[in-house]
Amino acid sequence: MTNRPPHWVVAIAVVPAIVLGAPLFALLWRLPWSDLGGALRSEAAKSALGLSLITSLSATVLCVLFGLPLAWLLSTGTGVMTRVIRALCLLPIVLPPVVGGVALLLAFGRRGVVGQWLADFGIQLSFSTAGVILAQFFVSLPFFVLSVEAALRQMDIEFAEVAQVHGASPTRVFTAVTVPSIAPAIAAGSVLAWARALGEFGATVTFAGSLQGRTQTLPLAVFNLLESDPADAVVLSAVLVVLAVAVLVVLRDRWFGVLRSEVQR
Amino acid sequence: MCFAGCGGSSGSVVDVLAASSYTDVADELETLLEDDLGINVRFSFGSSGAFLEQLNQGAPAAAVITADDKTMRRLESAKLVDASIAINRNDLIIVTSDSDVGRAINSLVDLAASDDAVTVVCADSAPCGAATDQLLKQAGLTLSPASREPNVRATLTKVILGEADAAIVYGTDARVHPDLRSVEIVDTVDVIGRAAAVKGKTHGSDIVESLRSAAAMQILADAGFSAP
Amino acid sequence: MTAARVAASIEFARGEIHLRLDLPDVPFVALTGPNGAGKTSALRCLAGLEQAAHVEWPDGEPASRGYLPQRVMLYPAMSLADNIASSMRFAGLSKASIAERTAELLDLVDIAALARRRPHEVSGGQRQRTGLARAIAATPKLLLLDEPFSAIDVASRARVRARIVKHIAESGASCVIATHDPNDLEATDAASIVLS
Repeated sequence: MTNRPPHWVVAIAVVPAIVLGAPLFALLWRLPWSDLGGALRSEAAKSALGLSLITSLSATVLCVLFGLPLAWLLSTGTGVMTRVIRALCLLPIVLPPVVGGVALLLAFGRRGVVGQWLADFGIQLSFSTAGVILAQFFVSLPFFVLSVEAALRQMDIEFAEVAQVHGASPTRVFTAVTVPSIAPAIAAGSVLAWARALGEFGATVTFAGSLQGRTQTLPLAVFNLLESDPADAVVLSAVLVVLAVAVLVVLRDRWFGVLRSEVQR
Repeated sequence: MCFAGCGGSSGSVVDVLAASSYTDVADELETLLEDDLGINVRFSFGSSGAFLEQLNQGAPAAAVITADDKTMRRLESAKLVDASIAINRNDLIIVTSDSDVGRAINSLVDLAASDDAVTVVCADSAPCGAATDQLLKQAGLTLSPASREPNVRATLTKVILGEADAAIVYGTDARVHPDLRSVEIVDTVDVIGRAAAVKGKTHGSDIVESLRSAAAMQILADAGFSAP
Repeated sequence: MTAARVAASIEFARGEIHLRLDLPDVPFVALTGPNGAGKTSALRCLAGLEQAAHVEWPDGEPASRGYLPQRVMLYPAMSLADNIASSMRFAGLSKASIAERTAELLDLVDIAALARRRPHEVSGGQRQRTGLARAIAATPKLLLLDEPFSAIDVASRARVRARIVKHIAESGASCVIATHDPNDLEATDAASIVLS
């Protein structure tokens, strides 16, 4: 290594490493190792874990289904509408999640602009598992769209042109050529969106409420337990951390590895 | 959040942790305490259930006001606070929206029997939730709430926003919103609010003493809190 | 050769490039001329990729085209065999015939051993062979080849070129080649258009 960073860079870089690492370390330190099983076997913990997996994975699937076309649209457009839509897509990243939850209530709540109309069909999203998924979809979609749109913009348009000359329709070009080419970005965007959905708290508690087995996801259960049983809360928090780390480690080589080899060529 | 000037040694701001049900009397109590003691007082609110963890982690509060005595007992047995005093009594009532579904509810039995009403109550970890559970057990009723909200104000908000038709909250909280229907509960559960000084903090016992004064009692009474 | 050839006239202007050329209806046309003369642009006009171009087809627009751009542009997520098969899939050929013809074409350009490799795992010359096979795979009416043999090693360039030219001639396609290489002209016996 000839390009070694100087000492002052190392010294500064250590600071964020500590800020990021210390809470993780503290969480594991405080873990009641002897009573792990008990905390995890509780009904609240089991249902929160199951509910979190189901809702976060559903939200991720929705992100891919709706996010891909959206990212495609945004990557090709240059007009005012494109810019407006992109700004809308960024909004949930900037908004405090609780504000996002309030906005969701005003739109999809029982008296909301859309919710009122849904209520006529007997559909109530607030206080429902579907409401949890909607809240998670709302906060995690931007992460997917941004990651995929960036990849689409970087992709050489000549690939699509060759396919077009050979007779592929725009839809065919997208599904057969473009999507496989940006698969690493789609995978990375999905992981980011899933992680965001899994950790979602503010919008969920505001829009969907908190009820064991229906809307109380892992972060909500942690918050609730922190008041009644802090030790169990630490155990559940550790589960979230382990889940996140496991996914990142498993996927790192498979997906990000592909990305690296593409870049190196 | 606390950066410079925390801890009170400079005499700048003295923090008081208070249950969220005291939100509406905070301004008046703050003024009273500041006039009485000549210090700068700041209330911060949350669910009483969270205070134990916050104080354990060194939250810079001089005094604590909890919504119920159960929570205060936990703080006392954890040796985080000095002996507490009762400062008021609160009771649980039902609030409903002014809709058809809401107007059909005129008792706790109605609420438990209603199939249409979307009902929210406090989480069991919050004092109002613990009291709600006790109330239902006492009455031999079961309720299937749509949500158990983190604290009493969040619970009330769901009815104000129209997402829920009914909620079980403190009588004082219901008073703040006269446009909501209040339904008294027969044989309701009393909840005793308590105040205590945090161990080792200056001004703590002065604040508690001041909260017991006639003037403080009047402020609480005006807001609908009964005498303990 | 009795098949009807493709004729066209192009009008196109962008920046420094002003094109006005007529494509005669002969099997092979070579576009030559210095860098920046518009060889690539002319191919792109014929490929239908330039919105601003005005192209007239006296005998009708060709029903199918094959295209090899100068940078080859193999689809990065597909193996070499899948790249070759792609143009036949887009043309709607049957699965069985695609498999058979892909094998033939891999042999034609001498890359059968690399069939399962992906583009970034092979050399530039091997990519160009694959691109050639992909362009001719669906037996298009009009072939557009940009510097088609430039990256192939000198030792085998003549052999690959001879096979490709023979294959195109037999298929009855019209072929437009943008090239700097006089050997390309000779091997194809092309009508030459010099751009300036």
